[in-house]
Amino acid sequence: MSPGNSNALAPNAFRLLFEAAPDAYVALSPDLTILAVTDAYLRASMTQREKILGRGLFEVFPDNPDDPATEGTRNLRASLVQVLQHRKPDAMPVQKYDIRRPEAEGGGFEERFWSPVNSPVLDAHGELLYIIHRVEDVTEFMRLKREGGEHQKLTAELQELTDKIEAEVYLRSREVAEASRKLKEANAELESFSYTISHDLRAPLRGMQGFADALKVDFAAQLPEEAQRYCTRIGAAAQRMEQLVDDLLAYSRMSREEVQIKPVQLEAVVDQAMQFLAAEITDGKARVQKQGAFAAVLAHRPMLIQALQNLLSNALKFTSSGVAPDIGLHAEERGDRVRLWVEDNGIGIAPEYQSRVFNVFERLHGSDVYPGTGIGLAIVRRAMERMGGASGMESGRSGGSRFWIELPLATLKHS
Amino acid sequence: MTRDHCILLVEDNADDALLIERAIRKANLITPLHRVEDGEAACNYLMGAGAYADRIKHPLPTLVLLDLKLPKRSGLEVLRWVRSTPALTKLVIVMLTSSKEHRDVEEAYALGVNSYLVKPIAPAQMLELIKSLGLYWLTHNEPPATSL
Repeated sequence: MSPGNSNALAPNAFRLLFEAAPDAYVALSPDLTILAVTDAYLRASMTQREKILGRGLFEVFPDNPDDPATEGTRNLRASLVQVLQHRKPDAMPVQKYDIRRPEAEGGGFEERFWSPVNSPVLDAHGELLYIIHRVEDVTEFMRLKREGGEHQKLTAELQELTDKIEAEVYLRSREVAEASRKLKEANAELESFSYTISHDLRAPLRGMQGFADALKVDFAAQLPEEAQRYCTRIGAAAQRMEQLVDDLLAYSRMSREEVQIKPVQLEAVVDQAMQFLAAEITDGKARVQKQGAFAAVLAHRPMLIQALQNLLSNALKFTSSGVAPDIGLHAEERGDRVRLWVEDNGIGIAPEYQSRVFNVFERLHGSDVYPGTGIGLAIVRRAMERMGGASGMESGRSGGSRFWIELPLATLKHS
Repeated sequence: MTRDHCILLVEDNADDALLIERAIRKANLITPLHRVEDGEAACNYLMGAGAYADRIKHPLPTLVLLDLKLPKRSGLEVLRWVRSTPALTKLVIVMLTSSKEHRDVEEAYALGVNSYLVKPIAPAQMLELIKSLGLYWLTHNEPPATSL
């Protein structure tokens, strides 16, 4: 009978078949001596058949002395006792049982997890002959599970953090919404306030001035000269009031007007402002000179024109009597900003007043000498602030004043 | 009194009305002036409703001078109503107001106003304004045919 004959098996064929079984099995005697092992078991446990056959299971596989938490041996022993007593299979929970690495591979223990099942092999009378100890190496599975657990823990922590941040963002955004609603309300109020000023404050002024003038013109023959002068004064006072209202409106408009920052050619703005003041320049026989090159700046064009117009207008106005205004304009690049200088030969401003001239309604002169409302420079300052720029002044080298406004330089990228 | 030659002044401020009337007199505009004091009266006048039913006494104007801030119905409301009333869509309306506010100007033009003028404070300028207004709208301008 040859091994090739499929009708019967050679006596040692059972051993061969057992050893070749694809899973890890150990056949134990009731006193837990190793009687047979599969090749798969040898691979999993890093052992050799001739070194473990005939030896006690716990003699071959002691606990890892470096791991005090290990319960592998105790659990296995308990399970085997169960099987011995009850002669029923016992599936153990996953065990951590570290494997002794062969000295050739560096020795020591290697962390392993096992899923063992112990099954009794009984004879015809129900007596226990053997125990088959089957183990499945679930180290990889446990590793993945543990990593998954860590991920899960991390994810949970992250989730908690995210929730906290979301709650914070929600609260903050509500605060922001509330603030912006209040701001909108305040703006709307300011707007309706300006609207009222614009409409209602002007009406009585028209009445005052209109009737004072009507009196003077229509009753010229009946009015003594002194009465006519009074009429003129009423008219002039009303006119000043009108200018105040206009300037105040311009100032408040400067505060609430929407700012759209774009690259603006500074020289074009200078030209435009000069054009607006052409009459004053001609009347005052003023000389206004542009010096050097002018860069492009980031600004809201109408605001910038207004600011520059105010500076030029001041330079034209505050002159010593008999001296024609001589105004120089030049741009100076200061890092990523451009400063535009407006230099005049006027009456100048004493150093102690220089910090005050940009305040609203600040005036340094009687309105008979230099008419005005004292709001022009406040508009300049506000305009520059709103465009992310700055403004200032210093005394001129030869008595006049040097005012400046500064804005971010518009790079090619912006234009 | 010719039917096709009349100005309707919608103005609630008596001082302003008086000064405008004076300027019209000074400008030698012979056009008769009718005045109403609020937005609702303006609409009634233009419809020929109620107290304004008599078209001989209250003829349809060739020019309306309309203030913005008015009692009952604002100037812009009157303007919107006029432009949505088929018989009045072509009526020449000029805003004459104290507001220089950008949004007022924009809205008035958006609603189809023919011109927007700001009341000057100086009487001399008021006279100038009324003179040119009369010259342009009542003399040079070719008015549309209005029904009613």
